[in-house]
Amino acid sequence: MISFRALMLSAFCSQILASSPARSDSFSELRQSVYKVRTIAQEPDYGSPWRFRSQGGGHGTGFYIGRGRILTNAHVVAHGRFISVEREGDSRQLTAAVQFIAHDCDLAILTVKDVDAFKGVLPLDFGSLPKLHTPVITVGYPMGGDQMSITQGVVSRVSFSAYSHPGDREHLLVQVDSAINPGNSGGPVLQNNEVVGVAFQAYSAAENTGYIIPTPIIERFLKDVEDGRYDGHPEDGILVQPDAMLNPAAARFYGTKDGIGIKVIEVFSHVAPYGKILPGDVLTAIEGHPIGLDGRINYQGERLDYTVLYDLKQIGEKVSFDVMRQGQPQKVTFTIAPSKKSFLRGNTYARRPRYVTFAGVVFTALSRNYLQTWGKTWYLKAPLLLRYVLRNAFYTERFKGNEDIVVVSGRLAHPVNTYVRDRETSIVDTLNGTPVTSMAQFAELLAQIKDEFIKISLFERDDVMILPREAAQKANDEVNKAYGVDVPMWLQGTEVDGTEREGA
Amino acid sequence: MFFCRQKFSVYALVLGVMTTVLESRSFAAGKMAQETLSSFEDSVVMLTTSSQGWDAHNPWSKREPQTISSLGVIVSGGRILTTAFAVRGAMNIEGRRFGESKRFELDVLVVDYEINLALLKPKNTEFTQGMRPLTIGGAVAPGTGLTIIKDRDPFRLTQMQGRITEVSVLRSATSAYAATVYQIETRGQGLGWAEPVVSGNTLLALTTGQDEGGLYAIPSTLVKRFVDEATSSKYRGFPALGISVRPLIDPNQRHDLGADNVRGGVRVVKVFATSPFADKLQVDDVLVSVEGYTLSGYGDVLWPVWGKVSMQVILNTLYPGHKIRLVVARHGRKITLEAELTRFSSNRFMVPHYRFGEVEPHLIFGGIVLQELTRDYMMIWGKDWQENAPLEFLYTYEYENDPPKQEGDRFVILNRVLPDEFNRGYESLDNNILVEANGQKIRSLAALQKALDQPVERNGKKYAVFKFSGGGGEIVLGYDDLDNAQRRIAKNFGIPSSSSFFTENKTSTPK
Repeated sequence: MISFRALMLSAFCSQILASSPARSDSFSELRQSVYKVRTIAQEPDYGSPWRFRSQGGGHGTGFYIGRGRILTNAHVVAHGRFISVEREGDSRQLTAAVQFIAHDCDLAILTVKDVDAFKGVLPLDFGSLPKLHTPVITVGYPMGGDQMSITQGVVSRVSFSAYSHPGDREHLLVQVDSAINPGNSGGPVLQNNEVVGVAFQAYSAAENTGYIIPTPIIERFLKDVEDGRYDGHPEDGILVQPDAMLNPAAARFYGTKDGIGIKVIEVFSHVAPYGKILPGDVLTAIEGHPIGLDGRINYQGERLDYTVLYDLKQIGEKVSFDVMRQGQPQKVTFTIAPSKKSFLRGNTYARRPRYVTFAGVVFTALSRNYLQTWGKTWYLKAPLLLRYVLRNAFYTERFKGNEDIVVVSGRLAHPVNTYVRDRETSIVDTLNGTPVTSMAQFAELLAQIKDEFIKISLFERDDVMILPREAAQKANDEVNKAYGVDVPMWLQGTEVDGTEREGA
Repeated sequence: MFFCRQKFSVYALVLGVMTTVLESRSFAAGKMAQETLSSFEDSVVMLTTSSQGWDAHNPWSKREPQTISSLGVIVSGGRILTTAFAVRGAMNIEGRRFGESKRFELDVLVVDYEINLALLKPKNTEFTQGMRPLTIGGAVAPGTGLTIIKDRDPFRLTQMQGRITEVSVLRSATSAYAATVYQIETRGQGLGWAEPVVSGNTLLALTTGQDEGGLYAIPSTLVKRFVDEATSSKYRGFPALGISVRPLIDPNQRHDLGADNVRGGVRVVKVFATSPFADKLQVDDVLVSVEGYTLSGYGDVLWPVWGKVSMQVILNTLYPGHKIRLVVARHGRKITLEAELTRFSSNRFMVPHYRFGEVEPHLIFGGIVLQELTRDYMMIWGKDWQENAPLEFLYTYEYENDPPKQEGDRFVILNRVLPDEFNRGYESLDNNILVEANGQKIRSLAALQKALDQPVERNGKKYAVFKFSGGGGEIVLGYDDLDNAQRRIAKNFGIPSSSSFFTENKTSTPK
């Protein structure tokens, strides 16, 4: 399995150079705009969701982009409880806060309270997508020393590939061979004194293989937050079968021209294209760009997955596809609406996972983060049913329309729940006959129930948990107090980011 | 020098005498043990089984031959008892008496993979002439000390001591059938190859496997039943109820089922379509007694000699055809139900459990290799297959594996694509469950053959359209030039002509 290291930085302060706010062509001036970002983070405990893990610290790099904002990686500041920034030439460590964070593409904007801190600091400008084999400079504070580090390399690949931080998202990605090490994350990668990317991950199984988030992704992010809210990359949710149209019989069957088109297998129900693009369609072009048999288009001189164009759209923009539908060409245009809440198949960085405790039984929303509590090889060791359901929820009739998949994740032992032991890792199917579709609905049902018994059937287990309602409700406070559960439920999800201050 | 020589000779003599005395003593002790073991040489033989199973991943060919050594126990009628595991898929079985070198060929009389026992007979009766069958004893209680007879080397037997720690019900090494086993604590290692477990000259059990939990052995009661029935004209096998139950120890569950006044009993959670009680038992019935034996809340019964043991022990003593009597509590009311037991088969499930020695049925369409999902197939992912096999297969095996109403229903899977120009574009597809072919739902290879005999027609051309589950995609191939393509693929990949390439309107079931 490929592992990408998220990289973090360490910094060294030096003298501030006085400069005008105008653009500078001097690298020695540009470096003054690069910050060391220190973060003390505290992650939630997905195994015991009312708790937090111990704090941990790390460093990254960021750089000034104007209007009092520092750009860095989301993973540098994820779950940050205390963030500070410092730069060369300025001995001050400034307290920073996250203004916007984009976990889906690993970018974040920081601000500092002291607005004068940026006086004389030059904002770095952005260039365009760098060409293959052109030189780039990576600036940052990687491990191996405290001073700023500058490494040089060339652009070695442009692709549409996985970003490690979200875990399940792919975006435009540029590979460089300049050294990018832990500590470089969030730092600018420059070409002709312009930022062409943000250093953020490396391929640990290979040498000289670092990755940068290129400017089209950065610019998309900056445009997204102009209205004061980050909406995120659109999720196309179109499952395609590359190369299927390579087969002459298949091409004849679907009426496509030689060398063109990729077959749609499925469109997930929670995404914008649902109902507009249909299973069995052959996508032949996106925004006028012909789609090859391999699902790729020509994009700025490279052959990249067609999704690159869709991915760069903003929520609310229109997109058009040319499709072959039952042998007939059609044009399909639709507005990209936000995805309805989908299952947490990627990494999440919410303040807390969604959970409910009731009579000492802990219920949590199934998520990749929850499965990762089974360790590094969770994809083999986590319970089979949970792994399967999380991966296949989109195809499973029972869970297709769900907002959450509710899991019995633990039991805080108490006489009222003594007979419901050994149900951990079961999936909740119904509550007193009502199918459970979300954590919020589950909590509401529990609160409203008037029956003598609370009966929770478990999916695929031919089993049921039964609790006497009155005794269970009575025991709630007692159990929570005994086990230090100060927050008995949390129904907000990713909308409360891990960098937000609870109670602030 | 002469004196020294003499002295040496005296010392040598003394040493020799001493050695002789010591040897005599150990010889005497050894003689006693050897006498005991010698007597077993008349009752235990060495078996060598050569087998060559079919390769689940390349179903048109066999795997490399294997040889297994095990012990065989002489029972009445000059027959030899061993485990089914030892002789699974046998192509040739040789027997040899301990202390002798002559080998004799053996045939399998009866093999029951469900209970993991086999009875063999030599082609030449000279093999067992003068041999002494062991008496098959009765049940023994946990805590009983016993002796395990094992081969020390190809020529001699040895013995180890052990003690029964537990009587439990477990699936055998060869099947999904739950049968009673003794768990034996012993220092001996490398056991589980049909070693007889004895007390004196009485057979108490036959070993079947060993792990960190101990040594496992089939009790003599099951052995006796198997051996006795093997002599009858028709071997009936072992039955099962065809239901799933769960312990009923939660008073709240008991109340919910209206069984507050019912002592003991377990909750029926599933009634398989193949169960003899399919139209009699209901989910949420409380199974209170089986053949008059009262069930505890954990499903145990009190059994003579063994004490508390799973109710499955009752089924291990009954025969298919027997009318079994159950008492259930349904909404608090007790009902007696009767039905005729049927023979249990691990291969009656949607995912067959074993294919020992049998051909792996498959169908190849233009290089697309399709076959049944079996446990054998998943085991190609090695000893950790239960972690490493494809997630969808594991889930299907664990959660969708009830015996189907229609016997022969199976999950048909795409093994892989043997690449050729004919199937270009699909060469990377593998390990998907086929749900539909040419618009028809597929639940067997026979159904697949039938579906492929009815191509999809579009614009005057015929097509085969395969759809796979869970985002597995689709394969569309033409029928034009199919025969040439299949001939090319067979030649390129060394697939014998006996293999099952698709032929239109083939009436026989694909191999």
